[in-house]
Amino acid sequence: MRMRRNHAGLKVLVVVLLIVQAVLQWRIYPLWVRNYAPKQAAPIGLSPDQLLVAVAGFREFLAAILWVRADGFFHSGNYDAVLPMLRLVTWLDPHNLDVYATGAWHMGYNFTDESQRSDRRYIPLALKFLEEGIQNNPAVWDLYFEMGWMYFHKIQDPTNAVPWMRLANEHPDMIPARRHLLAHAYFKSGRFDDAVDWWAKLFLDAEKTRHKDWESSNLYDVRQNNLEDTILDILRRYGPEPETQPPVDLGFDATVKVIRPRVLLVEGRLGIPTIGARVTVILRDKGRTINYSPKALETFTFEVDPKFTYMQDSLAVREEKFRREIDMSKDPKMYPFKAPEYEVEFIFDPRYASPNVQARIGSDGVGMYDARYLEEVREKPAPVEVPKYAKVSDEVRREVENPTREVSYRRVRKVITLTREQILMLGKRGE
Amino acid sequence: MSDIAIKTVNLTKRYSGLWSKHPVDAVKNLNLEVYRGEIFGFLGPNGAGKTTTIKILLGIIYPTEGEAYVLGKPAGDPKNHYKISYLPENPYFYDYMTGREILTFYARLFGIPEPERSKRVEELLDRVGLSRAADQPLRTYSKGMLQRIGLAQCLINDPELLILDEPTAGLDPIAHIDIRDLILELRNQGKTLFISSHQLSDVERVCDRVAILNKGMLVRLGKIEELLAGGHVEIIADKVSDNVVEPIRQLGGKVSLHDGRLIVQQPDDGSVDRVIDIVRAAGGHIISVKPYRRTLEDLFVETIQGGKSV
Amino acid sequence: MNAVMAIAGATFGEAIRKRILIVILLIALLIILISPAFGPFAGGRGARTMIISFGFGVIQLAGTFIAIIMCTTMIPTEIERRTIYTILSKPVQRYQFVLGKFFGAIGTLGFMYLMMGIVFLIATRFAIGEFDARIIPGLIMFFFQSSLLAAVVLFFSTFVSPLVNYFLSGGVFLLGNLLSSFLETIQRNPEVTPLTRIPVQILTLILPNFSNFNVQNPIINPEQVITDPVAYTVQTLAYALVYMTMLLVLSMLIFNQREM
Ligand SMILES: Nc1ncnc2c1ncn2[C@@H]1O[C@H](COP(=O)(O)OP(=O)(O)OP(=O)(O)O)[C@@H](O)[C@H]1O
Ligand SMILES: [Mg+2]
Repeated sequence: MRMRRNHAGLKVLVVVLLIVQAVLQWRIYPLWVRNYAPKQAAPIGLSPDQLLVAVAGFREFLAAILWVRADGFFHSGNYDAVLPMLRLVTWLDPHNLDVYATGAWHMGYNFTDESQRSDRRYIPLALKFLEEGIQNNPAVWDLYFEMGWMYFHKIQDPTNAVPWMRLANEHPDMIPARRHLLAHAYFKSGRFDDAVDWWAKLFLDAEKTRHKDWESSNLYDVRQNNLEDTILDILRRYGPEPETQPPVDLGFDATVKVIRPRVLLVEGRLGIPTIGARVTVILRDKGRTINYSPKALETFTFEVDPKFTYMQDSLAVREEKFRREIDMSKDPKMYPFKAPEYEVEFIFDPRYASPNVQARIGSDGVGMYDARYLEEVREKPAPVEVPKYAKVSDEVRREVENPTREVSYRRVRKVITLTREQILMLGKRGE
Repeated sequence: MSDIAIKTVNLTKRYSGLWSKHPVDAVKNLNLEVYRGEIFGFLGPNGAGKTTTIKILLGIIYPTEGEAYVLGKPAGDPKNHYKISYLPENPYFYDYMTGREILTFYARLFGIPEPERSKRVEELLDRVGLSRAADQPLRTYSKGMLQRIGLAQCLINDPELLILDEPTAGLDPIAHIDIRDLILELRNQGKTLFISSHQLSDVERVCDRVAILNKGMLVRLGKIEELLAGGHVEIIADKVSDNVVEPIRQLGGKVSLHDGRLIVQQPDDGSVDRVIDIVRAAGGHIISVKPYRRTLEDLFVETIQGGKSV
Repeated sequence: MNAVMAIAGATFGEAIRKRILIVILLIALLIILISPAFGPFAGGRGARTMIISFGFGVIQLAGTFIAIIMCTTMIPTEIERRTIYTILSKPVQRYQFVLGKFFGAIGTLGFMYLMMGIVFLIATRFAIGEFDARIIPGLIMFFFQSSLLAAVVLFFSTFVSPLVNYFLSGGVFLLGNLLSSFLETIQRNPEVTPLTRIPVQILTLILPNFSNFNVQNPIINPEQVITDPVAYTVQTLAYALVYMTMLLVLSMLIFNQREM
């Protein structure tokens, strides 16, 4: 009688197939995580229907739509609305480099006060955001570069720009012109030897392809000029008969006066004979400054400390003097003045001075002197945690994870302390 | 090769639904033998278990107990299916296909290669009279046309055994006759036909043997003449005197006498001659001797009302 | 094999005439065709992102619906209208029937994907000005995703009713799409105990993992560098085949026991 057969063989086959598929899944999973996984936890505030779409193939589409809307907010100046958008968009599509780059730029540059001074409290958020982007896109050069650029340009910290530029340069598909920035960062941070080496390497690279097309030959010319100029600069400034000697006595000084509540008048002197020097003035809660490093923040957030006051401005020096009225009364959100005491810092940092200034005093300040306020800064770049799946040589990985090269430069810096009462002109009249 | 086409031994099918508390024995201890070359009528009222038995024979469902053999092999053996064919009750086919396409489809299930396949399809279309409708989709077919397509798909493999479930259900009398002729033709070709039905008039004429099923149990089984044997003969006579009534009654007949007219309903068991002798001996005058055969309908009603099992 | 192919052919013929499936296909085609209209809306590289991601989304969604709607009723209707009786009374084994049905479903999906893929390629060709061949592997991955889903639905259809099957397979599809990211989130969170992690891990290994096939992101974001794309694709396709085979054997085992 043909009853229901037992089919023991088939049952064994099912078990075998179950094991085989589990093994395959076991092997696929790490690759999937590396290449395709959306890496952020879902942000709250996503409605259920959005979530449903999000799990389907529409993730990236939804991200693109939201990104278009975010763009509208950019144009209308509704910057606060952009931030949550960024969070949503990068969750839906963590591989959209534009969003990370533009988002970080937005946080770094777009929040300003009435006088176009940046709200620098947002910069650490920008860096944290970029760090997340790098974690999600470790094999792409773009965001390493953006991070380096942020240090180099916005924070004006060439020392810490170097490791990120190093990482970006590890990628063969990096845009050639962008590779120059590492040499500039080396130079500005005082690593003149590395700057020359890098220009030389770039020059040799360009030589190989120089006859390919107009662009390549142009690249070759640019690199050649840069290499020569850099060597010449070094020889002139730091060579056997340096133009930076004897040192210029800066005779640096600065004062601050509260002329109306929350309005400061800063003025001072910097004895640089040529034009193109700038003095940075910073007002901040006493004993507190901004740690820009992405490691300073535990997790990414869009919140800045609303009680923290931080103002930074840059004053041009003309005829060895500088002076400016700094009005902080119109932006109470940016300048809450909640701390009891404030420090006003005046800094002249030669690394970002104009070329003619640097020609006289050196980009590291060897050619300058000040009796009272001269400081010698010695620093190493902060260690950078390289993502696991970054395509980076072991040498570079070691170098950026454990920086050993110390750089030094000179600057002048004066700090003046003010109380809250003084700035708000509570009680007695200001100084 | 045995001459038994279908054999069931204590075949039982119990439906015990997941939620129903009372299991139904759709077929119960069924013992059947169908011989090769015969037309076997498988009869019973609705719900008797005919379709259930057929599904078991085809291996579409499995018996709860007992065994079933078809052409010497256990029921459901796929190799057997090259030699048998089946027409379900109220057949339904992929109705987007045309008549020709559906027959081609079934031919492919048998692995009949071209050009044999096309040849056979055309033959069959012709044989069931659907050549002209062959390129029409089945959804435009009438019930009779569908039944004919059903029969055609039954014949595609030139089977030894045909299992037809209610082949005439819902058809008009002319179609009945067509199908009956086809059945007879098939029998003449030496095929075995197993036909389930609750309609009797056509079947009684063609079946060699019938089984009657009721509530899953076999209640009658036999040659059609045997089952229908035991009809009666009506004898009418005139000018008969009273004294013949008692002797005739003793022969087992039903007797009535009014004004010298005698009506006897005598069992058809050879005693009719004796009744006639008695009437004649008493000076009676025979008007008519008319046999009344039992119909299958009578048998059907009788057995089912009696509810007894063989 | 002839019988399997005959059944597959009949299944295909029936499926592509099913009104609901045609409607889904036509809607999908129409939407893909008009998707280049999103281009100017985003502008530049955003336009590319938008059009390609939208197309992929539409195709995946349509594939999902087609697979579920087609396969839930495929075997149950055969039983309901008793067409299966005439088939199984022919020399057709039950496993051949299941196989034929599955191949019919795959054929239908393949046809639908082909249609949508061609329209998608044409639409993107005109919208972004280039013929982007990388779309094709993405489509193939989604095709395998839908095929695996079809196998899941077919498997359930051998023992549950169509209505239950809609929810069951829909749920499995969602879960199979989410489990991997869920596991990944859990693994990155040091506070999650092994007591939670291990069951999730086991589930990920057992349930069909649909997110393996969602590889559209690097196609949409062309800068992305993928490590071992060939190994990944090969293993994922092998995974799909092994998993489908397993489901088919299971379906055959269950279907073989089944009364109709
Ligand atoms: N799948 C099933 N589940 C439960 N009970 C069933 C099932 N199929 C049939 N039955 C029951 O089994 C009995 C026999 O049914 P079957 O279909 O064999 O009758 P039949 O003789 O073919 O009747 P008809 O002349 O109406 O076709 C009926 O009582 C029916 O209700
Ligand atoms: Mg019946």
